[in-house]
Amino acid sequence: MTNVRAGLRALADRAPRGSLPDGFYEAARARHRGRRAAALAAVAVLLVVVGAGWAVRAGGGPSVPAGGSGPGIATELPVPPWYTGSGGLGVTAAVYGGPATTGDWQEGRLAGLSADGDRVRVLGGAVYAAPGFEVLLSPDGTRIAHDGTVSSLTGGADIRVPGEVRAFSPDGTLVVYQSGGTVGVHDLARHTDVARVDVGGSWVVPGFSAAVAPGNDRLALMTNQAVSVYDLRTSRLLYLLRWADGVLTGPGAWLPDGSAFATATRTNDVWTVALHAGADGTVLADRALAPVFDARYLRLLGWRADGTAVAVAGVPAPGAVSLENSWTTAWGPYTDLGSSGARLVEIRPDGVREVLRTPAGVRDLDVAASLAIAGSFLPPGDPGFGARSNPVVYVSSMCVFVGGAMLAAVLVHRRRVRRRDRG
Amino acid sequence: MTFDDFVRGELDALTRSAYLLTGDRQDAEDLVQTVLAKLAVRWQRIDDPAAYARRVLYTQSVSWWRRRGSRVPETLTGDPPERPAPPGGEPELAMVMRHALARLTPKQRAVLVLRFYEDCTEAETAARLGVRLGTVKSQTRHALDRLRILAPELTTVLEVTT
Repeated sequence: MTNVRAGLRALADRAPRGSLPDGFYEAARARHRGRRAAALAAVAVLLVVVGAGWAVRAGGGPSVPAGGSGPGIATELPVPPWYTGSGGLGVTAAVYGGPATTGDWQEGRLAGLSADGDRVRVLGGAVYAAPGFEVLLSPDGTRIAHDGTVSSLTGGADIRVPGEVRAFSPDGTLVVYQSGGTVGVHDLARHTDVARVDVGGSWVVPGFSAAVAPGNDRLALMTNQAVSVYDLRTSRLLYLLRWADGVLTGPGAWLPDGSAFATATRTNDVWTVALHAGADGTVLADRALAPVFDARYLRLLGWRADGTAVAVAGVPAPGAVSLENSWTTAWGPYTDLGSSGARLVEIRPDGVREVLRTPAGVRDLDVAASLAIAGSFLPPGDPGFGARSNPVVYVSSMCVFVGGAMLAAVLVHRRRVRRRDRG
Repeated sequence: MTFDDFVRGELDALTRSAYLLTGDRQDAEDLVQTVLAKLAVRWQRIDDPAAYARRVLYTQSVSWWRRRGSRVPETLTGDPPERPAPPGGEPELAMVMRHALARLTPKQRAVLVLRFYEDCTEAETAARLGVRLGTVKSQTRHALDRLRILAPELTTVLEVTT
């Protein structure tokens, strides 16, 4: 093999003299330090993106029906993560919210729970609006009203209403709205008002102080310390009830046959429901229901055929002062009332049964009245929050992508410059 | 020993080995600089810089080739590349060897350079390349067989030289 050795040595003798640029050692180490710093920065960015995505991830697995065969209200309300999938809620059993669903800046996050499973979605908005007060769910769970808009939850078109919505009618076809000193009743199908009444400077409390009678022929309104009952066909005042310590009990105040409506009086946190004859407002003493204890407010959703009333009651916050309501001013289930949660209750003559209670941090609640009245409740299942829709991840990914592209462009440019200089 | 001392003592030797491995002056310089850059980064942690540099030189030459695919280095000569160089003489021998090396795989080339230029034993070659002893033997055999089959002009030279 000496010939191979000779050939290799002859070829090696033709190799160029080795040379290194000045400062090679320091330059190599500096380049290495730069690359290591870039790699560490990339790892840090990756960790931040992944960590942020994990922190605000949509928890839970796919939606699993809660076990009932038909639509209903799950008796446990899951607190959704910061972001959930969007859309796909369908007929909605409940909307709810509170500190657990909002941030320090009262972002408009409230939760919606579907009626056909345990799908939970965050319903967005700029500013948080309390369900059951500023945000109202239609009795059939297909629409949601906020300000002057009635939005469909099942893919239909939004409907603009001439004022801020105060209540849905029991059948969901009408909404009561207020615009200045005028309270109107608007037909959602025909997009026209069926009645308008003048309430002067009084404020009709959303979700509490207006009730349309079944049959859509009368409207009970509470303003200041009086309940006014109007004929919706003529917009004429039928009668006026004045008293000092009672309130209209919400959109479900009227009995299903329209023969009477309910008011409630409060002593500390105990509410007593009384029925008034629909014809003239006289109290029906023989139709008493059990008092509701530990309630900061009471909002009737409707009545069952056996005389059971279904209502949302405010849960007093621990240590909160038991405020006496002043009916000269409007009120709602704000924290001013000292409520820390809400519960759905069935009120019978012989007692009150709690159906569900909001979890910690969920203060405000509205449910689909028709499901609650029908007793369609579902055992809790495995909540599904939908595909992740997380702007933090998207924005971070975009930043990383753009940054990476810029870095790659710089590196390619520097390599070209080096080659050109070398050539 | 400082890095500069090491470079002064080893640079030419490394460049010659690199030239044999790459067959191109520019690539040889690039390869040596790459090796020395790796060495500079780890300089304070390496006990035997010469061994490290040579191990990196050979492994890097193989990985370079793999990364560059089937690139064949261009050779500027006065003669058409298809015509065998006339036998006899040192320059002709170097030219024939260069063409022959270019026709080998990087691993075969590395084995040949280590075994017959650096005069490493088979065991040392295996250690330097990080392969098994049997691999060195088979690569050496294949390399020599290939030289005889694919480069008849080198065979002629070998016979003449022998």
